[in-house]
Amino acid sequence: MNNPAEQTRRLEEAGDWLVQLQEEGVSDEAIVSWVRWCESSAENRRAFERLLPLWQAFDTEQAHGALPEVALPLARRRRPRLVRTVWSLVATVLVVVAIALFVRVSGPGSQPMVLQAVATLQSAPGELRPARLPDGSRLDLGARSALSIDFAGTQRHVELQEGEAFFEVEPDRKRPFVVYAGDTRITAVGTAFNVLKSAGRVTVTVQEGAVEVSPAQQRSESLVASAGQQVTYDASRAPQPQLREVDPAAALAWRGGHLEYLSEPLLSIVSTLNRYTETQLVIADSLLGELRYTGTIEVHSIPEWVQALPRIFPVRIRHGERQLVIEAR
Amino acid sequence: MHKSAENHPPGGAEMPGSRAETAEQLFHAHNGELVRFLRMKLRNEAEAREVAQEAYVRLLQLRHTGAVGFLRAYLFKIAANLAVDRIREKRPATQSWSQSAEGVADPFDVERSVLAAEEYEVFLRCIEELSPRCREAFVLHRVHKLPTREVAARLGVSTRMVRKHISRALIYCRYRLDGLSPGAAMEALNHE
Repeated sequence: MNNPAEQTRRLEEAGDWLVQLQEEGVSDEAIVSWVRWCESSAENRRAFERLLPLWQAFDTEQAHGALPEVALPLARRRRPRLVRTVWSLVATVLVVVAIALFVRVSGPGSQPMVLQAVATLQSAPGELRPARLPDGSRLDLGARSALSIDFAGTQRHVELQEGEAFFEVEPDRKRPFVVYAGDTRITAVGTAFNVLKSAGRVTVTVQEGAVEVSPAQQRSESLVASAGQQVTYDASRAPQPQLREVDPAAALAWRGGHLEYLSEPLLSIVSTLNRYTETQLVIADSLLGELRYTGTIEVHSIPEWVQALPRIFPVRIRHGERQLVIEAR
Repeated sequence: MHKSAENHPPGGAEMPGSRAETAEQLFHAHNGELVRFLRMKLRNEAEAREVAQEAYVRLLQLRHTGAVGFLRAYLFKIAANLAVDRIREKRPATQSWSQSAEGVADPFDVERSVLAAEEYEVFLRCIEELSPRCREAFVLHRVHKLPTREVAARLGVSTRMVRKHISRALIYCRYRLDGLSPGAAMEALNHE
């Protein structure tokens, strides 16, 4: 290992494997030989691990910001069909790269700002904004979301105009913490909960404590949801809020950059994804919006997820200007 | 696929995520080969199938498969590691395990294998130091994600040469990140 020539030779093998393993149509035999190569010595394995982060650097979220540039020399081809293939490939790559560049998520590591008693807070596409409220409660505002607060009166009053937010409420029995989102009113005392406003529907997920959810107009229809429960309210579909048991971690996964869905209508997913990217997804046919999806979407890999949609559902993706149209196939 | 009809991909129709989808495709396309590979290791058909299943489950649990370009290779690696674990469990404690003791059992952590922000910046600068051909090959393949044969066509060299360029780019940058000067890194790289 101390011998530089030996070290370089091992690293060359490791590098060669990294390239080969990712080539299209790599054979099972090649993979098996690679596994054997890894198993044959701890130093081989170590060499592979040393190159891995460099290999992956442009596959991860780090890859936004400045990317190395090269002038793309376009090979002249005699066979026009191949040229078209190359072009469509380049086009696909560029679209994916372009969308990827639009996706930005600033982690919860950024300093939370402290809001004044009366204030508004907004976030950019893909941005996650933590903030502290005047009473000591805290919130994480999701991507492309907006809320305003008015803590000057006898109530702690929050209005979620758009998007999603997670609240950790400082207990204060004398001053209820009330969140308005569209047609929905959520009242909390001391608790942690998430509110998602998406395509006419409001979803409240309780992580800790309990909240009271009611249509904003009639207090009578109220429903109490406690930890592990979720309330959805969509006045256009059902007159009363609906309650169900859920894993709150799934509804809160967005704070870590994952979107987790269990049998979620495509329409609602698209409306969330559009908060993360500049390029907007459009569903051409309202019936398609009813398709149910179960799985995890990484906010950094939204373009890949969209590209894979035709393999999951009977749809195809049409590339428009600054938008991707999901249409029936 | 008939002979493995009783072997269903975990997750199934309820998990049509892009990740689950890819894993399911891998399962259908390569399960036969994977089981064959495991059978050689474990010398037991039923166990081979069990380990293959378990490997798929592990693959589905990965959060950042977007970063795992070599998903299929990784699947085989997970399976191989699980098999080694099983073989090891069966051995009497007195018998020594001849292969490099630790590390074999756990697959390297692809998910956590990322550069720190400062390292990433240094890495970007090092790419600028590469020879033009080497840099072009590397950037076209890793940043623009062109397949190696496309890169080869553009640069007018063989696929083999492209692999070599990319590999050398990685090693040079690794040496630079390890603290070697540009000259020393180049020298270490050219040690034959």
